[in-house]
Amino acid sequence: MSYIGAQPTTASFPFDQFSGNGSTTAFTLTYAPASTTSIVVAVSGVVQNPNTYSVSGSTLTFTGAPPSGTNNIAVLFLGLPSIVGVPNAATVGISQLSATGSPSSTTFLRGDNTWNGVDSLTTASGSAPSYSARAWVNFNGTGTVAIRASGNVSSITDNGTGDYTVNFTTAMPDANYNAIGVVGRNLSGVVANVPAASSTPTTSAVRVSSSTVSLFYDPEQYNVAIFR
Amino acid sequence: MAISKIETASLDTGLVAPTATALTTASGSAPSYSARAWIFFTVSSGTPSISASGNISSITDNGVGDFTFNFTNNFSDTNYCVTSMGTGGGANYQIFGGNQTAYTKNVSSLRGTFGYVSSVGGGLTNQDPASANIAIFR
Repeated sequence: MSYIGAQPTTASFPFDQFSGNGSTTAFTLTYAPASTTSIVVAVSGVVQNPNTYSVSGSTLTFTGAPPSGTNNIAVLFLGLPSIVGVPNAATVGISQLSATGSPSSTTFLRGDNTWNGVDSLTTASGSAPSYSARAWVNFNGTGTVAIRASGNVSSITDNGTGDYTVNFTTAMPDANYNAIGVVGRNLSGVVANVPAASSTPTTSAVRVSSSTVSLFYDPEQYNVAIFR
Repeated sequence: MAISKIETASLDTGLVAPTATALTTASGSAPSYSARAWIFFTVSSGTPSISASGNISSITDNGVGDFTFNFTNNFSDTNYCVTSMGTGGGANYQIFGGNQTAYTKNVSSLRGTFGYVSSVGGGLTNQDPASANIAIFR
């Protein structure tokens, strides 16, 4: 059979059946029909005139009790009213959503119905993207080295006076990152060397030092931030 | 009739990530940490002026090269990480925080010193920078 447009499809209509006992006149339907003509009712194989029954909500009531018989009352729903409502909690998954782009563990559904990652923060003005530090640390370089606070820094290795290695918890994608640092020490003129002279940054660590032009000193405050 | 909207309560919560740990601008798996305060400021005739900033309400001028940066919103503690670079001002070296005695961290403000080192092993001489940048992480 030829057709225009989408291929026709068919659907099943809901169907209820009951057993009469010669006295019961009311039966509870699965759905609430809009009227008596929204269903076809047959008793013992004989289609009933809609004037012989009534519907109220999901209750079907016969004017006379159907005779006894197993599943001798059949009700065929000719259609159901459109059900527009709120889906039950936790029932809508990714496969039920239609949006531009591809969902993944790093994307979010935006207000314009697009799957997208976070490329800027609400605190940023303008359209320039946001680049966050991929690691940072504030540590005390005097005595036994101690991290005061940090992000993505697992430890500080004390290589000697004014000489440290900042070890990352999660490695950088490569060693071409931007490392910056500032020191504070109770001695004027001590500066941060990030990376330390003659050192080679790696994906897992960067070596830093603290010195004047010629002498190394341990600083009370050593701050390092890494960008990539 | 199409459903015009789906309430968030209907979404399978297992599909919703509560927070982002990295920006799309980042490569690799290392997490992202944004600056919690930043400022670009200039100093003209001894008077500091904020050109642009984030979470900085004002600068207090304590003297030559000595400034207090007041935060709009406080930090959770004083263990934050400070990075900075100053330029110009006629000096051959500008540095922030090189003198611990003038490096004071509070949850509501940060006081620091800009200056230069004029000789090998020499001390820090306070001086106003022509311009300077500070970024703070926590």
